[in-house]
Amino acid sequence: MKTIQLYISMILTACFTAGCNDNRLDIDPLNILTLDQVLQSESAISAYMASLYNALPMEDHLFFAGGGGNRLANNTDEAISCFNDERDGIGDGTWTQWWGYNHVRNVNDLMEHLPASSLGETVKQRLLGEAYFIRGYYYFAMVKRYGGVPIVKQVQYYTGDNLDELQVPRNKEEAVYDFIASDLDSAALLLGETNAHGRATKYAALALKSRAMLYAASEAKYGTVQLDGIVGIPASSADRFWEAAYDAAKEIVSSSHYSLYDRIPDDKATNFQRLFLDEDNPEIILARRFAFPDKTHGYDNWVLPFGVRGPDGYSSRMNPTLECVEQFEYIDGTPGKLKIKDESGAPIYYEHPVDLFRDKDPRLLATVIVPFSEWQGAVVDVQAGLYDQGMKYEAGDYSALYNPETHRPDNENGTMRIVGLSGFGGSEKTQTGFYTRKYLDVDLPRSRATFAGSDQQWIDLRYGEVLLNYAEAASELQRVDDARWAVNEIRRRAGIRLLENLEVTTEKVRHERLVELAFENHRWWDYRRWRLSDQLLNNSRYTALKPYYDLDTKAYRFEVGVAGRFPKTFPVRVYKERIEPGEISKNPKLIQNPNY
Amino acid sequence: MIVLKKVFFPALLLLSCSKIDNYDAPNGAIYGKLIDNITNGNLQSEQPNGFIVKLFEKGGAMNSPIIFTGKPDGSFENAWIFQNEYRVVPTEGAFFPVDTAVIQVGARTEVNFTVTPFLAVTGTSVETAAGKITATYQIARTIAAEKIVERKTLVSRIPTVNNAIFDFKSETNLSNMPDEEILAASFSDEVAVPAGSYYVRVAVRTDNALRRYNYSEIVQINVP
Repeated sequence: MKTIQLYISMILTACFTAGCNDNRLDIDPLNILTLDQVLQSESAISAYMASLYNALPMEDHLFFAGGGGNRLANNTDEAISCFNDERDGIGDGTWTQWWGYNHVRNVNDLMEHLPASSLGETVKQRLLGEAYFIRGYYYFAMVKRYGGVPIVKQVQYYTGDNLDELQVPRNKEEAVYDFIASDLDSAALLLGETNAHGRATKYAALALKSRAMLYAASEAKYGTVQLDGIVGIPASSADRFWEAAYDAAKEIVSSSHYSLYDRIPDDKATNFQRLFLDEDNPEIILARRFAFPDKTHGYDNWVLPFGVRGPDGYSSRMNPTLECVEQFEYIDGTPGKLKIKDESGAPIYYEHPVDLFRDKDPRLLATVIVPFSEWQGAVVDVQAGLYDQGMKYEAGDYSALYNPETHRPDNENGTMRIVGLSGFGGSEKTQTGFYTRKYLDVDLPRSRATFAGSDQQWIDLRYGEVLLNYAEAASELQRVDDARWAVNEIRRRAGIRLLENLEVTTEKVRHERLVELAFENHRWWDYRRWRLSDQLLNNSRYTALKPYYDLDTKAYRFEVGVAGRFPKTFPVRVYKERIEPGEISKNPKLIQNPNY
Repeated sequence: MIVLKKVFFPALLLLSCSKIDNYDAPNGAIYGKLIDNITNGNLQSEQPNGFIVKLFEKGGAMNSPIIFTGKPDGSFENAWIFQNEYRVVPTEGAFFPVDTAVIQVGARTEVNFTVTPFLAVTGTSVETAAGKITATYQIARTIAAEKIVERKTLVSRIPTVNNAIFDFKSETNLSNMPDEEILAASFSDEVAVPAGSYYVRVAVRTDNALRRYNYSEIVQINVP
């Protein structure tokens, strides 16, 4: 036994000492493909590209601002969460971080190795175009958060003594936007008009460019230059960025390659609702598809009304505010104020409570579950209480009953519920009287409304947004005819009155954008680039629409109440997010944004 | 395996604990205030992040600066730093940039800065009547820079009152009023409030990059 051990140790020693002297152990691992190997096969490349696309920081159904399933809309005046706690509190510039240099490195690596690949020239050209698109997307995600970031175009290699050159300082914000524009231009040149689903095309590059240039132009016009231009863009550059946004959008418009979704023209509300769920859709420029059970999300689980929630519980995490609902106009173009009281201030009674929303912009009913409208055939009952003989009764609990015979709350002999199943009371139901409908999957069985049961797509770039980008740039450039045309395209599809030239102000174009793109995670960034966030969200409370059933008139009346418990404030410094201090300690040449 | 569990891990713990941290805790302190050279009082600020103080420690060229925030009354204090030579600069508040001071920090060292605010609220007087508060004030400045854009009277039930924390306010946009007229005028804001005890403050703002407000001192009043 002893001898065997001795032999073994001798053999091991020999192995180790011998092995260190030559390259016998420097063999490539058998279970990992190197990039050069990947580049020889088209299917391997597809898999590699999938990882690059998957890293695109889309603010899709899986995107949360801060923790706890908080939707980005809850950080604006669009919505509040059912808790209305600190999760609605905007945060401190650390809630939507994306510092993606690992991903930038991967795409740079691809660009560097692609010329040596044995694939055909057309395939290589397409892949290079996609790489430019992806890199532009990554950089845009960073510049809109932080302002200027280091531009790294090549793969960096550490040689042991070149740390200094690997630590790249931040470029000016304007230079980063120019870099993004040039990447997206290259992408548009190299890419064709079509591509496999979910992959970039020429028009995806142009659509992203129109969005990015709009952000740059707003930064120049409404922002301030700080830190010698590392954040902020000189006002003199505003016009050239508006022009770039206008041109990019115009190229898509004049190609006639896309159109607004209008498959159900007789039912505008259903049409607008289907727009987001229909995967075969002339409006989609770039979408991320999900497929149960391989790649899923839990949008329905988080957002469904309390009364029809899925088996995992949750629900109600995005309640539209009354302010947001009233932004939707009436079909005839009049302002969207709901008719709750008559001229003398007395409540108006509605036998059918949904009639309160009669003649509203059809998009409202497709975007918001208004009180007592239906979800999969069930009425979403958000009754806040009862009126009987002029007295108001409310309850914090669905099980509380009211006895109309004795005219008092009576849990034993009562025959009527005081509050609705999805209604007010508690912190798991709507705080505003509304729930979000946009993107909820009407065909999803309730049993699958779980954390990982939903698989509706996320449309990242759609023609509707391009038209609104076009309209905004045109309006800022005083091209009223163009702006009017684009806004009216949107309004015609929506089914509301078209605008005349004189009505088309920048404010009106913005308003159309807020309404059309509600709950698509645009508003947070839009208010931010218009520099309105700190004025709109300044110790601000929002309001709720509370429906009460009146036993005497046998009809519903509505009241406006304060929604939730906490006000929202947007701290000025959040116009630029905080750079992670860990990144600064790795690279001391990074300058932190002001006020962090 | 049992040997590993019974002997090795306890040994590891003992080994890793055998060396105690024998450095002294930081025993230096720096404190002071920002003096507003228009009102000659403390520069009125807000909390949090009304202004920050940056400390650059001597011998720490590669270190990130120590950054801490000032207090709403314009004072600042950090009593948890090492005794050493520091370069000190208050920044990112509602005042024009000041020169960096080089300070030898001892056990408790005072350093004050005189700053020129973007704007100052002068001659503030707050009067009350049943159900309302009236604040009267002027706006002054010594260096003309960005346009004066806003004035507000903020009323809070708690002693903290600033642009983001208030219960009632009156705000007026001044973007369309020429600066000369603003500086010559005397303003009066009325805020309707229920009876009670309140803290009142006036805030004014130029179109500065950080959107900082200059504040008056906080006045406590009772509304009958």
